[in-house]
Amino acid sequence: MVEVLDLRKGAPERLAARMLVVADTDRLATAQPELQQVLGSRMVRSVLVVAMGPDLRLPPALYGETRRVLWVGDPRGIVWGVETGEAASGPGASAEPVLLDLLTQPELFDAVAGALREIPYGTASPGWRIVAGRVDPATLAQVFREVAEIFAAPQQAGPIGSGPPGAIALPVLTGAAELPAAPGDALVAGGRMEGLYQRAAARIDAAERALGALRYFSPAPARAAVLDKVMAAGQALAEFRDAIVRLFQEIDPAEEDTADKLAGHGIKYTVPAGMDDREIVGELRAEVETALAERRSPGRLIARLLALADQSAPIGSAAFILDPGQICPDVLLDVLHEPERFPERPLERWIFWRRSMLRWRTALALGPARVALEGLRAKLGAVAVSEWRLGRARAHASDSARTLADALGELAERVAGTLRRWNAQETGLGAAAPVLAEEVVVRLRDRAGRLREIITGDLHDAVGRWLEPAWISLEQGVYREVRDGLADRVEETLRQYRHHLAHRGVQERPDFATGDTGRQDLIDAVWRQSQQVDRALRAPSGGPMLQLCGDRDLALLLHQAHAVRFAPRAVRGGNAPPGVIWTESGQYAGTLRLVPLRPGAVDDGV
Amino acid sequence: MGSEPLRFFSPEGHEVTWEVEAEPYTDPFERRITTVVDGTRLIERRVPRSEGHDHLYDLLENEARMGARLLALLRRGYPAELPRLIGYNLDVAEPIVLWSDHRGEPVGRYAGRLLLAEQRELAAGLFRAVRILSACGIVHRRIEPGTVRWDGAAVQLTGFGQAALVGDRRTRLGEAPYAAPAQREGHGRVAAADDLWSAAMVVYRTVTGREVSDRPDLGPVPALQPIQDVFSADPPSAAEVLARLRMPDPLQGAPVEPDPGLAEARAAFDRARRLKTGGEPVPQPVSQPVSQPVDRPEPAAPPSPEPPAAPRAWRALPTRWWERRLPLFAAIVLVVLVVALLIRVVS
Repeated sequence: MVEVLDLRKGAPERLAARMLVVADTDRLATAQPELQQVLGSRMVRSVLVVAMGPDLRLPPALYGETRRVLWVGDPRGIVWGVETGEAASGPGASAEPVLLDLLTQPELFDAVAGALREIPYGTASPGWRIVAGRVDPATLAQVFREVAEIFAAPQQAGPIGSGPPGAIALPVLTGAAELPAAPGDALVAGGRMEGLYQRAAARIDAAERALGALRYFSPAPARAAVLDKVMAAGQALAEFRDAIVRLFQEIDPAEEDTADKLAGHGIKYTVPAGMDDREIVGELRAEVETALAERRSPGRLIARLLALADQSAPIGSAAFILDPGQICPDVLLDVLHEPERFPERPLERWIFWRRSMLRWRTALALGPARVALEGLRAKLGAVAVSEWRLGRARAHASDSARTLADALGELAERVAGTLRRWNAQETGLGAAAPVLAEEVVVRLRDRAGRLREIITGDLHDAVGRWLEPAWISLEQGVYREVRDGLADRVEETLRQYRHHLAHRGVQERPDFATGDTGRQDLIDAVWRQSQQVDRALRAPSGGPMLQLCGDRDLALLLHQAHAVRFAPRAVRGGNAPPGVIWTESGQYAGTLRLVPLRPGAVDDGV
Repeated sequence: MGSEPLRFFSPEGHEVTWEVEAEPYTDPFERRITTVVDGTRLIERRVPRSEGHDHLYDLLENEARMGARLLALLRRGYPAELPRLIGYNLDVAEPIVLWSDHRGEPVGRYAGRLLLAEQRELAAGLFRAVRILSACGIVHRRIEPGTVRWDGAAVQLTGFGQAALVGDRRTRLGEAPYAAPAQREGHGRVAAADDLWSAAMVVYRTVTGREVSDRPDLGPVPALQPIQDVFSADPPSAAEVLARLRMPDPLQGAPVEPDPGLAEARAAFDRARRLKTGGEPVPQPVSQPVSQPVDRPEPAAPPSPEPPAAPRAWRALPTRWWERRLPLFAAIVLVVLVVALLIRVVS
């Protein structure tokens, strides 16, 4: 971190280890107290002074050889070759902003301060041949607008799918898959419902046995006994059915005492394995992070989460209240309640006994009664699993997915809004500084699509970062806390990202980003393949460069040069010359030349 | 914000003056006021002089009328789902109606964001409101995301300007998807099912966050199973829907009952209204669903901007079957008489 103290604007407010003091030459000559304060502070480790203007005069604090001073006689500069001495007009625009931008990069600050240590009296005139890698405002504005459109895109409903591979809970809870392991019998052995079932089964068995025991000569009381047993079976079956209907009506997993109620009825209420709150949130997290990594648009992700929320919401057992009546219809119970008597007419009783017996067996409907009994038990088991044992898990999945969709909606809205604001800001800015070669700028402009991809990716990663605290809240079931502080986190990250894009460039990965998709391609295409970057990095220090001084100031410079070569660290590697300083900033690459001043050129009291 | 006197009539017909502090009109028809005495916040609905069209006055009067009817019938335990009429002053250049303060925000802003427990409470609250209204013989006719409010825990149904009585002739009102098809077309008689459709549509929209142009597909939303047949040709009643939502009928313990003490005041209100409308006879509803007769001397035809409502003087009274066949009977009797006469002459 380099702290800038611009004496033209005021006194020092903050001190740091690296201090860049900027002053015009007149102000510098009288800045003894301020410089003493800076140089005398234990917080300050290194001071670099940039003196702007003609006739460099130094205050006593800068006497001696430990000073580090860059003298910019004329910030518009002049093209000058140290070896040949030939000079030509420069571009005519002030290079001061670019110089200060360069020197506020810690790596370059240290390198320049180190180079000045080698120069007599630590004073030199800066010059350069550098290439700018800033995305021009029009391109950036266009990219911001396009990314804003991606984040503001409406929800796109699609098939619910099965989620990321390995997901177990979500497919089950949304009804897309069965439980991986059989849920086991829903009825507790010896429990009330099991008892009702067993009694009905036993009575049907007894009726069938009694019916099976009838013989040709069996007396009328034996046949009457069959009828009694059939009626008893029908009564037990009706009781079982009615108990199920009442249960379906009565049980609501949202109520606190559901477990007690179910236990009272002899129904198991254990949550199947793999369906606890943490596992459900884990799968949702995998789902969201996969979508963000695949750079799916927030609109699609929100639609997917809302579909998950809808599909996993429990229906409630009351929705199945008519099913028992369809499985075991009243008609069947009526038949069992008033069973048909065995035909007692002589012809049917004695001559066609066998046929009458078969017909009577069918009419007694004990077979359908058994089918109905098993069907009722199966229905009870299925509803017990889907609506009661999985009820809380389904509600948790639904509420979590909906909460996430809501938070994502807010994030997308805020990102889109901020990008639209940035778009408006960039639209009002001018083109890049004309003092620098623009090949990289042009290359960046030609790759606006790649820029969009990178910025979209960064913001997807930011969304993932913003949601980090949400996962704990969801695991704990405190859904409304998910949005707590979200707006502030988004605001702060986007502010940092804006600064990052302005000062470090798009080729440098921001702190919150996890991926480099497209970034390396952009660096290769824009920086590594640039002839101008290569030439600027390899420029001979004695060759023609823009020297930041006036025509008359050239006479005060020695025909020697020290070079500091630098480039963004993102382009490290390749065929860069040795000794290059790699900077965090992605804005500039090239050679900074430091030309020592002739002895006596500086009024330093000597 | 300085205080100012507010003169109005209480629902019982007493003239009242309160000192209030009023917020500026953010909406030309509505502002929030606070009583100086106890800080109670109220909503003042008005028709600004500049906007003064007859149908707007009618809407405001209708609000007052419906509010008074609800108060009269729901004296025991006024439901939280409905705003309470505080007073009115209709015989002034800028007539006003005062309601208890709004609760929460219009439910539209919660679309797709409610948790399951909230969804259930929203649905229950809304269907409770519809159930209570229908028991009072009122059909709101404008249940939509703008008139349903939600405060995070409970529902409030506002905006009674277009409300009508069950059995009134339907006028065209509203658009898809919130207005029921029959209401959009203006066929038949106003029925509680109109509100049921609208309430179910608001629930669908709020729960799913999805826009629909007409009947929604509830298949992908199992949680909305209790309202799945509301959009069918044979819809359930609000009480049935509440039962499916496992909610008790709000009228089980406190049935609606008329307040005879208010009859005189309401009669005065209606007399004043008749005078104002030039003695125009006010039509009677075709049917009165409340078991005990509610003293509503003449329900206003629900005003509607599109198309213009039928003249208020016209109101089809029910004709008995024999009245419809009377000409036929007369013709038959005449023929029989003629034939008998001919037979007698010939013989």
